[in-house]
Amino acid sequence: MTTRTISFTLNGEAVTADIKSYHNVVEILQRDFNLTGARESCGQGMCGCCTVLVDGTAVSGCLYLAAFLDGTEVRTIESLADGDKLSPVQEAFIEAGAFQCGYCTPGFILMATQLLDENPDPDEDEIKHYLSGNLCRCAAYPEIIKAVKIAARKRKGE
Amino acid sequence: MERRFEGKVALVTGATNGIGRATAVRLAAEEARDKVKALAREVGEPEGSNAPISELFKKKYGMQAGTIVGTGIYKPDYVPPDPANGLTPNATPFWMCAAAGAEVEVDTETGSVRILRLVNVVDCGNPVNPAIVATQISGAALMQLGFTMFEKMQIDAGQVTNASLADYKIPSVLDVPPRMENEAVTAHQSNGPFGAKGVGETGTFCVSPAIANAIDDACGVRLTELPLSPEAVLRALRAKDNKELEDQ
Repeated sequence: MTTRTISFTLNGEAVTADIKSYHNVVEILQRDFNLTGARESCGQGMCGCCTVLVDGTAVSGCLYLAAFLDGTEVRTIESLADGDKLSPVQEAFIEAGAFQCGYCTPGFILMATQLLDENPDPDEDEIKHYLSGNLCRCAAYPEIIKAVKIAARKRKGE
Repeated sequence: MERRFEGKVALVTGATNGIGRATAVRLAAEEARDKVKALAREVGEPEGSNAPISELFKKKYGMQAGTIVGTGIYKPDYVPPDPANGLTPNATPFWMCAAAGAEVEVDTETGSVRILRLVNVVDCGNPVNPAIVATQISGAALMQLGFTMFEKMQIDAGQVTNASLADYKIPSVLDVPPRMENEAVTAHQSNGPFGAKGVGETGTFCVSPAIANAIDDACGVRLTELPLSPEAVLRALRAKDNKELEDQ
Protein backbone atom coordinates (compact mmCIF):
# COMPACT_ATOMS: atom_id res chain seq x y z
CA MET A 1 0.00 0.00 0.00
CA THR A 2 1.32 3.41 -0.87
CA THR A 3 2.68 5.76 1.73
CA ARG A 4 1.78 9.42 1.62
CA THR A 5 3.15 12.40 3.46
CA ILE A 6 0.77 14.64 5.37
CA SER A 7 1.50 18.04 6.93
CA PHE A 8 -0.29 19.47 9.92
CA THR A 9 0.22 21.59 13.00
CA LEU A 10 0.80 19.54 16.13
CA ASN A 11 0.57 21.38 19.44
CA GLY A 12 1.62 24.60 17.69
CA GLU A 13 4.45 23.13 15.64
CA ALA A 14 4.43 22.41 11.88
CA VAL A 15 5.07 18.70 11.32
CA THR A 16 4.90 16.06 8.63
CA ALA A 17 4.25 12.33 8.86
CA ASP A 18 4.53 9.44 6.42
CA ILE A 19 1.35 7.43 6.73
CA LYS A 20 -0.57 4.58 5.20
CA SER A 21 -4.24 5.07 4.50
CA TYR A 22 -5.24 2.70 7.31
CA HIS A 23 -3.31 4.48 10.08
CA ASN A 24 -5.39 6.16 12.73
CA VAL A 25 -4.48 9.29 14.66
CA VAL A 26 -3.42 7.49 17.85
CA GLU A 27 -0.99 5.26 15.96
CA ILE A 28 0.72 8.22 14.30
CA LEU A 29 0.89 10.31 17.47
CA GLN A 30 2.55 7.44 19.31
CA ARG A 31 4.76 6.13 16.53
CA ASP A 32 6.05 9.38 15.03
CA PHE A 33 5.75 11.91 17.82
CA ASN A 34 6.04 9.83 20.98
CA LEU A 35 2.81 11.38 22.29
CA THR A 36 1.13 8.75 24.45
CA GLY A 37 -1.53 10.86 26.19
CA ALA A 38 -4.18 9.82 23.66
CA ARG A 39 -4.44 6.08 24.05
CA GLU A 40 -6.62 3.51 22.39
CA SER A 41 -8.91 1.62 24.72
CA CYS A 42 -12.09 0.31 23.06
CA GLY A 43 -11.05 1.07 19.48
CA GLN A 44 -14.68 1.81 18.66
CA GLY A 45 -15.10 5.44 19.60
CA MET A 46 -17.13 4.46 22.67
CA CYS A 47 -14.84 5.41 25.55
CA GLY A 48 -13.08 8.71 24.81
CA CYS A 49 -9.62 7.63 25.99
CA CYS A 50 -8.13 8.56 22.59
CA THR A 51 -9.60 12.08 22.45
CA VAL A 52 -7.61 14.69 20.50
CA LEU A 53 -8.68 18.09 19.22
CA VAL A 54 -8.64 18.55 15.44
CA ASP A 55 -9.28 22.15 14.40
CA GLY A 56 -10.67 22.73 17.88
CA THR A 57 -13.13 19.84 17.88
CA ALA A 58 -12.73 16.68 19.95
CA VAL A 59 -12.47 13.51 17.88
CA SER A 60 -11.85 9.87 18.72
CA GLY A 61 -8.24 9.28 17.69
CA CYS A 62 -8.85 5.55 17.34
CA LEU A 63 -11.42 6.01 14.56
CA TYR A 64 -10.20 9.23 12.97
CA LEU A 65 -7.88 8.38 10.11
CA ALA A 66 -4.48 10.03 10.12
CA ALA A 67 -5.03 10.98 6.46
CA PHE A 68 -7.71 13.44 7.60
CA LEU A 69 -5.12 15.36 9.63
CA ASP A 70 -3.54 16.81 6.48
CA GLY A 71 -3.73 20.60 6.71
CA THR A 72 -5.37 20.65 10.15
CA GLU A 73 -4.39 21.97 13.54
CA VAL A 74 -4.08 19.17 16.10
CA ARG A 75 -3.89 19.60 19.85
CA THR A 76 -3.28 16.78 22.33
CA ILE A 77 -3.31 16.59 26.11
CA GLU A 78 0.44 17.27 26.02
CA SER A 79 -0.22 20.86 24.88
CA LEU A 80 -2.32 21.91 27.87
CA ALA A 81 0.47 22.54 30.36
CA ASP A 82 2.77 25.52 29.91
CA GLY A 83 6.09 23.96 30.85
CA ASP A 84 5.65 22.80 34.44
CA LYS A 85 2.55 24.96 34.91
CA LEU A 86 -0.52 22.79 34.58
CA SER A 87 -3.74 24.11 33.05
CA PRO A 88 -6.60 24.97 35.43
CA VAL A 89 -8.47 21.81 34.41
CA GLN A 90 -5.40 19.64 35.03
CA GLU A 91 -4.87 21.27 38.43
CA ALA A 92 -8.54 20.77 39.29
CA PHE A 93 -8.40 17.05 38.44
CA ILE A 94 -5.49 16.64 40.85
CA GLU A 95 -7.20 18.70 43.57
CA ALA A 96 -10.42 16.71 43.29
CA GLY A 97 -8.62 13.34 43.02
CA ALA A 98 -10.58 12.78 39.83
CA PHE A 99 -8.93 9.50 38.83
CA GLN A 100 -7.65 6.21 40.14
CA CYS A 101 -5.63 4.48 37.40
CA GLY A 102 -5.49 7.55 35.16
CA TYR A 103 -5.96 5.79 31.83
CA CYS A 104 -9.05 7.79 30.84
CA THR A 105 -7.85 11.07 32.37
CA PRO A 106 -6.38 12.77 29.26
CA GLY A 107 -9.66 12.26 27.41
CA PHE A 108 -11.72 13.61 30.30
CA ILE A 109 -9.43 16.62 30.69
CA LEU A 110 -9.61 17.50 26.98
CA MET A 111 -13.42 17.16 26.98
CA ALA A 112 -13.72 19.18 30.17
CA THR A 113 -11.49 21.86 28.64
CA GLN A 114 -13.64 21.99 25.53
CA LEU A 115 -16.80 22.14 27.66
CA LEU A 116 -15.48 25.11 29.64
CA ASP A 117 -14.38 26.85 26.41
CA GLU A 118 -17.97 26.57 25.17
CA ASN A 119 -19.73 27.06 28.48
CA PRO A 120 -17.63 28.64 31.23
CA ASP A 121 -20.25 28.02 33.92
CA PRO A 122 -21.90 24.63 33.31
CA ASP A 123 -24.37 23.14 35.78
CA GLU A 124 -24.14 19.54 36.91
CA ASP A 125 -26.50 18.20 34.24
CA GLU A 126 -24.56 19.99 31.51
CA ILE A 127 -21.30 18.54 32.83
CA LYS A 128 -22.74 15.01 32.93
CA HIS A 129 -24.23 15.29 29.47
CA TYR A 130 -21.02 16.65 27.97
CA LEU A 131 -18.82 13.97 29.54
CA SER A 132 -21.18 11.05 28.94
CA GLY A 133 -19.09 9.86 25.97
CA ASN A 134 -16.05 9.30 28.17
CA LEU A 135 -15.86 6.15 30.26
CA CYS A 136 -13.93 5.64 33.49
CA ARG A 137 -13.78 2.02 34.67
CA CYS A 138 -12.56 3.18 38.09
CA ALA A 139 -15.80 5.23 38.11
CA ALA A 140 -14.24 8.39 39.51
CA TYR A 141 -17.26 10.22 38.09
CA PRO A 142 -18.32 12.13 41.23
CA GLU A 143 -14.76 13.42 41.59
CA ILE A 144 -14.59 14.29 37.88
CA ILE A 145 -17.78 16.37 38.18
CA LYS A 146 -16.27 18.10 41.19
CA ALA A 147 -13.06 18.73 39.24
CA VAL A 148 -14.94 20.41 36.38
CA LYS A 149 -16.68 22.70 38.87
CA ILE A 150 -13.34 23.58 40.49
CA ALA A 151 -11.81 24.19 37.05
CA ALA A 152 -14.67 26.51 36.10
CA ARG A 153 -13.97 28.62 39.19
CA LYS A 154 -10.23 28.61 38.53
CA ARG A 155 -10.70 29.77 34.96
CA LYS A 156 -12.84 32.65 36.17
CA GLY A 157 -9.95 33.61 38.43
CA GLU A 158 -11.81 32.78 41.64
CA MET B 1 4.42 -3.85 64.59
CA GLU B 2 4.73 -7.21 66.28
CA ARG B 3 5.49 -9.38 63.28
CA ARG B 4 8.93 -9.13 61.80
CA PHE B 5 10.49 -11.64 59.47
CA GLU B 6 13.99 -10.32 59.02
CA GLY B 7 16.17 -12.65 56.98
CA LYS B 8 13.30 -14.93 56.04
CA VAL B 9 11.98 -15.62 52.58
CA ALA B 10 8.79 -13.81 51.65
CA LEU B 11 5.89 -16.01 50.72
CA VAL B 12 3.52 -14.04 48.59
CA THR B 13 -0.03 -15.10 49.29
CA GLY B 14 -3.45 -13.61 49.89
CA ALA B 15 -3.89 -9.83 50.09
CA THR B 16 -0.42 -9.26 48.65
CA ASN B 17 -1.15 -5.93 47.05
CA GLY B 18 -2.83 -4.39 50.00
CA ILE B 19 -1.84 -5.19 53.52
CA GLY B 20 1.11 -7.44 52.61
CA ARG B 21 2.93 -5.05 50.34
CA ALA B 22 2.08 -2.04 52.49
CA THR B 23 3.53 -3.75 55.53
CA ALA B 24 6.69 -4.71 53.62
CA VAL B 25 7.01 -1.13 52.34
CA ARG B 26 6.67 0.18 55.87
CA LEU B 27 9.43 -2.15 57.10
CA ALA B 28 11.65 -1.15 54.15
CA ALA B 29 11.05 2.53 54.85
CA GLU B 30 11.94 2.02 58.50
CA GLU B 31 15.18 0.33 57.55
CA ALA B 32 16.04 3.09 55.07
CA ARG B 33 15.35 5.69 57.76
CA ASP B 34 17.65 3.87 60.19
CA LYS B 35 20.40 3.79 57.57
CA VAL B 36 20.03 7.53 56.94
CA LYS B 37 20.25 8.14 60.69
CA ALA B 38 23.39 5.97 60.91
CA LEU B 39 24.93 7.89 58.01
CA ALA B 40 24.12 11.18 59.76
CA ARG B 41 25.84 9.97 62.93
CA GLU B 42 28.84 8.76 60.92
CA VAL B 43 29.42 12.16 59.30
CA GLY B 44 29.09 13.93 62.65
CA GLU B 45 25.58 15.37 62.45
CA PRO B 46 24.03 16.03 65.88
CA GLU B 47 21.34 13.57 67.04
CA GLY B 48 17.91 14.47 65.62
CA SER B 49 19.37 16.58 62.80
CA ASN B 50 17.21 16.53 59.71
CA ALA B 51 19.96 17.40 57.23
CA PRO B 52 19.02 16.62 53.60
CA ILE B 53 20.34 13.28 52.35
CA SER B 54 22.28 15.08 49.62
CA GLU B 55 24.24 16.93 52.34
CA LEU B 56 25.01 13.68 54.14
CA PHE B 57 26.27 12.14 50.88
CA LYS B 58 28.44 15.19 50.24
CA LYS B 59 30.04 14.86 53.67
CA LYS B 60 30.57 11.14 53.31
CA TYR B 61 31.66 10.85 49.69
CA GLY B 62 32.65 14.41 48.71
CA MET B 63 29.78 14.59 46.22
CA GLN B 64 26.02 14.49 46.54
CA ALA B 65 25.57 11.01 45.19
CA GLY B 66 24.98 7.70 46.85
CA THR B 67 22.37 5.05 47.50
CA ILE B 68 20.36 4.16 50.57
CA VAL B 69 18.56 0.85 50.26
CA GLY B 70 15.92 -0.25 52.71
CA THR B 71 14.46 -3.74 52.46
CA GLY B 72 11.38 -5.15 54.11
CA ILE B 73 9.91 -8.62 54.12
CA TYR B 74 6.44 -9.47 55.30
CA LYS B 75 4.94 -12.91 55.38
CA PRO B 76 1.22 -12.92 56.15
CA ASP B 77 0.39 -15.48 58.83
CA TYR B 78 -1.98 -17.20 56.44
CA VAL B 79 -2.28 -20.99 56.68
CA PRO B 80 -3.23 -22.78 53.45
CA PRO B 81 -6.37 -24.91 53.74
CA ASP B 82 -5.86 -28.55 54.66
CA PRO B 83 -6.31 -30.47 51.37
CA ALA B 84 -8.18 -33.21 53.23
CA ASN B 85 -10.99 -31.06 54.55
CA GLY B 86 -10.46 -27.49 53.27
CA LEU B 87 -10.11 -26.13 56.78
CA THR B 88 -7.58 -23.54 57.92
CA PRO B 89 -7.21 -21.79 61.26
CA ASN B 90 -6.25 -18.56 59.45
CA ALA B 91 -7.71 -18.02 55.98
CA THR B 92 -6.56 -14.45 55.43
CA PRO B 93 -4.58 -11.65 57.13
CA PHE B 94 -7.80 -9.67 57.46
CA TRP B 95 -11.51 -9.80 56.76
CA MET B 96 -13.45 -7.13 54.97
CA CYS B 97 -16.74 -5.76 56.27
CA ALA B 98 -19.16 -3.39 54.62
CA ALA B 99 -22.77 -2.25 54.64
CA ALA B 100 -24.88 -0.51 52.03
CA GLY B 101 -28.33 0.96 51.59
CA ALA B 102 -30.21 2.00 48.48
CA GLU B 103 -33.33 3.94 47.60
CA VAL B 104 -34.86 3.05 44.25
CA GLU B 105 -37.77 3.93 42.03
CA VAL B 106 -39.27 1.11 39.97
CA ASP B 107 -41.28 1.72 36.82
CA THR B 108 -43.73 -1.18 36.99
CA GLU B 109 -44.74 -0.69 33.33
CA THR B 110 -41.23 -1.24 31.99
CA GLY B 111 -39.32 -2.81 34.87
CA SER B 112 -36.68 -0.12 34.76
CA VAL B 113 -35.12 0.85 38.06
CA ARG B 114 -33.70 4.24 38.98
CA ILE B 115 -31.32 4.43 41.93
CA LEU B 116 -32.00 7.63 43.81
CA ARG B 117 -29.62 7.20 46.68
CA LEU B 118 -26.76 4.84 47.44
CA VAL B 119 -25.05 4.73 50.81
CA ASN B 120 -21.93 2.63 51.22
CA VAL B 121 -20.03 2.20 54.48
CA VAL B 122 -16.87 0.13 54.84
CA ASP B 123 -14.43 -0.99 57.48
CA CYS B 124 -10.96 -0.43 56.00
CA GLY B 125 -9.14 -0.09 59.29
CA ASN B 126 -7.56 3.32 59.72
CA PRO B 127 -7.96 5.23 56.41
CA VAL B 128 -4.39 6.46 55.92
CA ASN B 129 -5.40 8.77 53.05
CA PRO B 130 -9.08 9.62 53.62
CA ALA B 131 -9.55 11.32 50.24
CA ILE B 132 -8.26 8.31 48.31
CA VAL B 133 -10.29 5.97 50.52
CA ALA B 134 -13.47 7.94 49.72
CA THR B 135 -12.69 7.68 45.99
CA GLN B 136 -12.06 3.94 46.35
CA ILE B 137 -15.39 3.37 48.09
CA SER B 138 -17.28 5.47 45.57
CA GLY B 139 -15.54 3.91 42.55
CA ALA B 140 -16.09 0.40 43.88
CA ALA B 141 -19.77 1.12 44.52
CA LEU B 142 -20.29 2.49 40.99
CA MET B 143 -18.45 -0.41 39.38
CA GLN B 144 -20.62 -2.82 41.35
CA LEU B 145 -23.65 -0.77 40.31
CA GLY B 146 -22.77 -1.70 36.73
CA PHE B 147 -22.51 -5.41 37.59
CA THR B 148 -25.79 -5.11 39.48
CA MET B 149 -27.88 -3.29 36.92
CA PHE B 150 -26.69 -4.16 33.43
CA GLU B 151 -23.28 -5.76 32.94
CA LYS B 152 -23.48 -9.36 31.79
CA MET B 153 -21.08 -11.37 29.68
CA GLN B 154 -23.05 -13.18 27.00
CA ILE B 155 -21.44 -16.53 26.28
CA ASP B 156 -22.37 -18.69 23.32
CA ALA B 157 -20.62 -22.05 22.91
CA GLY B 158 -17.74 -20.85 25.06
CA GLN B 159 -17.32 -17.59 23.13
CA VAL B 160 -18.03 -14.21 24.67
CA THR B 161 -20.31 -12.57 22.13
CA ASN B 162 -20.51 -9.09 23.61
CA ALA B 163 -16.83 -8.37 24.21
CA SER B 164 -16.86 -4.71 23.22
CA LEU B 165 -17.96 -1.48 24.81
CA ALA B 166 -20.63 -1.16 22.13
CA ASP B 167 -22.36 -4.34 23.32
CA TYR B 168 -21.24 -4.50 26.95
CA LYS B 169 -22.16 -1.27 28.66
CA ILE B 170 -20.31 -0.10 31.74
CA PRO B 171 -21.48 2.77 33.98
CA SER B 172 -21.03 6.25 32.59
CA VAL B 173 -21.27 9.56 34.38
CA LEU B 174 -25.04 9.47 33.73
CA ASP B 175 -25.40 6.35 35.90
CA VAL B 176 -24.15 8.07 39.06
CA PRO B 177 -27.05 8.13 41.54
CA PRO B 178 -28.20 11.67 42.41
CA ARG B 179 -27.23 11.03 46.02
CA MET B 180 -24.21 8.98 47.00
CA GLU B 181 -22.70 8.72 50.44
CA ASN B 182 -19.39 6.95 51.03
CA GLU B 183 -17.99 6.46 54.46
CA ALA B 184 -15.33 4.53 56.36
CA VAL B 185 -16.15 3.59 59.93
CA THR B 186 -13.64 4.37 62.67
CA ALA B 187 -11.54 1.24 62.99
CA HIS B 188 -8.03 -0.02 63.60
CA GLN B 189 -6.53 -3.15 62.05
CA SER B 190 -4.05 -4.44 64.61
CA ASN B 191 -1.84 -6.29 62.10
CA GLY B 192 -1.98 -3.60 59.38
CA PRO B 193 0.46 -0.79 58.66
CA PHE B 194 -0.69 2.27 60.67
CA GLY B 195 -3.85 0.32 61.51
CA ALA B 196 -4.92 0.16 57.86
CA LYS B 197 -6.17 -2.69 55.70
CA GLY B 198 -7.38 -3.05 52.13
CA VAL B 199 -10.38 -1.08 50.88
CA GLY B 200 -10.78 -1.71 47.13
CA GLU B 201 -13.07 -4.74 47.14
CA THR B 202 -14.84 -3.84 50.35
CA GLY B 203 -16.87 -1.12 48.66
CA THR B 204 -18.39 -3.64 46.25
CA PHE B 205 -19.79 -6.16 48.71
CA CYS B 206 -23.19 -4.89 49.66
CA VAL B 207 -24.25 -2.84 46.65
CA SER B 208 -26.05 -5.63 44.78
CA PRO B 209 -28.02 -6.97 47.77
CA ALA B 210 -28.90 -3.43 48.88
CA ILE B 211 -30.37 -2.59 45.48
CA ALA B 212 -32.15 -5.95 45.19
CA ASN B 213 -33.60 -5.48 48.68
CA ALA B 214 -34.77 -1.98 47.77
CA ILE B 215 -36.51 -3.35 44.65
CA ASP B 216 -38.22 -5.99 46.79
CA ASP B 217 -39.26 -3.32 49.27
CA ALA B 218 -40.56 -1.08 46.47
CA CYS B 219 -42.60 -3.57 44.46
CA GLY B 220 -42.48 -6.94 46.17
CA VAL B 221 -40.30 -8.94 43.82
CA ARG B 222 -37.27 -10.80 45.05
CA LEU B 223 -34.57 -11.11 42.39
CA THR B 224 -31.71 -13.47 43.15
CA GLU B 225 -29.77 -13.25 39.90
CA LEU B 226 -27.79 -10.42 38.39
CA PRO B 227 -28.11 -8.18 36.50
CA LEU B 228 -31.31 -6.60 37.79
CA SER B 229 -32.23 -5.62 34.24
CA PRO B 230 -35.59 -4.08 33.32
CA GLU B 231 -36.51 -7.38 31.67
CA ALA B 232 -35.75 -9.36 34.83
CA VAL B 233 -37.75 -6.94 36.98
CA LEU B 234 -40.69 -6.88 34.56
CA ARG B 235 -40.76 -10.68 34.27
CA ALA B 236 -40.78 -10.98 38.07
CA LEU B 237 -43.54 -8.38 38.38
CA ARG B 238 -45.68 -10.18 35.81
CA ALA B 239 -45.01 -13.55 37.45
CA LYS B 240 -46.11 -12.10 40.77
CA ASP B 241 -49.42 -11.08 39.21
CA ASN B 242 -49.80 -14.52 37.56
CA LYS B 243 -49.46 -12.89 34.14
CA GLU B 244 -46.14 -14.38 33.18
CA LEU B 245 -44.52 -13.13 30.00
CA GLU B 246 -44.17 -15.75 27.35
CA ASP B 247 -40.60 -16.81 26.92
CA GLN B 248 -38.35 -15.02 24.53
